Parts: sequence; C-alpha cells; structure tokens
Amino acid sequence: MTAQQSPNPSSLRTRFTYRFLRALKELNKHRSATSWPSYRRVKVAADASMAGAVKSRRAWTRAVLRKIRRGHRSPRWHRPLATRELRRKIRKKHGGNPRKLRGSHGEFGQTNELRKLVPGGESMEITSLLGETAHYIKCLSTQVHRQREYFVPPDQLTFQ
Amino acid sequence: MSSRRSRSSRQPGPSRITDDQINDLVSKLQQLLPEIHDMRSKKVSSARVLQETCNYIRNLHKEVDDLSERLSGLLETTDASQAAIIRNLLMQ
Repeated sequence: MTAQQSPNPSSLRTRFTYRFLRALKELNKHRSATSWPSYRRVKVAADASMAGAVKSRRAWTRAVLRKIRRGHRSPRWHRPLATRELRRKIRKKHGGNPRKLRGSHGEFGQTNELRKLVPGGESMEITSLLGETAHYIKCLSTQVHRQREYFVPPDQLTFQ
Repeated sequence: MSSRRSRSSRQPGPSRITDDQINDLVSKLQQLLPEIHDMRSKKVSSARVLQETCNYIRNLHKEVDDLSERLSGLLETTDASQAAIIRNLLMQ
C-alpha cells in the first residue's frame, strides 16, 4: 500500500513548481479580483499546487482541495458548520462516538493533535492517519524547499 | 450467495489493527523527522514521535505562511517577480 504511493520527490517537485508558477501567473493577472489579502492567495496557490501535484489521490489532498473550494465560495476560511456534519458521518462510518474512537488507542493521546494538523485527519482511523501523515510531511517539506528557493540568490542555487 | 455471506462474516472488520502495524507506521514517521530520525538505535517512544511530528508539521505550516507572505511581497513589485519566475523556469 505505502511503497507504490509514496511520492517520487523529483517529479513531485517539478509538478509542484509547474503548477505553482502557473498559479502565480494567474494571481498576477487578476491582482485585485478577490478580497483576500495577497499573502493568503499565494499560500492557497501553494497548497493547491502541492495537493494537485500528488499523482495518487490521497485523503489529505482531497481534503485540502475541498477546503480550498469551500473557501472560494465563502470568504470565511474555517467553517465551524462542517464539524457537526462530519461528526455524524464518522459516527455512521464507525458506529460509535467519534470522541471515543479518538481515545481508543490509550497511549496515542497525541493523535488528537495530529488529526487537527493533517488535512482530513479528523475522520481517519489510526493506521491511515499515520500513513497520510508520513506522506503529508514529505510533500509539505518539498513545498517549503521549493518556496524557499525563490529567495536564494541565483549564484547560490544548487542543482540537486 | 450463501458462500459469499459466510466469507464476509468470517473476515475480521477493518477495526483489527495490530500493535505491530502501528509500530511500523510510527517508525516510518520517525525516519522523516529531522529532530529524531537518527536516534533509531535508542528507543524513542511512540508518544515522543507523535509529539515531534506535530511540532514538525506546525513548523512547516509556519514556514509556508512566512514564505507566502514574502512571496506576495515579491509579486507586488512586478520586476522582481518576473525575475524570480524566469530564474525558476531556468532552473528546471
């Protein structure tokens, strides 16, 4: 399950950069089209580019894209409305209380924290949460490395 | 029809998660964390790995925010952004 779905860092990097540059170009064209502050738009462009660049669709990429689409419709970024609906869904899926489900693995109390940090993590069972977290970390660090390269003076760039 | 039913009832549900499975995933996670990835010889508790994972993700999020802010500043000044975009295209 994991071996074939782990990202190929070099092609992921290229796909991310391609999408991100295209998004930035669009941003530049329609500079005042939305009411969002511009750093938020750049961040959304980066997140969407990374989620779109992952070839095998993962739970976390779907969650990121869903969140962005929702954000486009409403200027409010976090919509607390979703939580009740989500709870109901989890209860239906696992036949129990989501709170109970979270605490069911005694020593993994920290998973609560992790669920808030990994997109879509609230509704995952423990093994997929850990798998998705590993994949998410890899992609996120690639994204950060790429974004950082914009600020490296040209003569100090290293080709990996 | 009946054979299918009996097979599905015999199969354990998705709730059967072994400790080994979880330990395996946690150790994979540990290898990705710069803080503790080379501490494989010592025993690092799962709780510690998860805590470090949370910290690492939080740091990465902070960095994405920070870099996006700087990048948006770069975009405001058109010349600089053009230069950056061209530079990055050349790097491909």
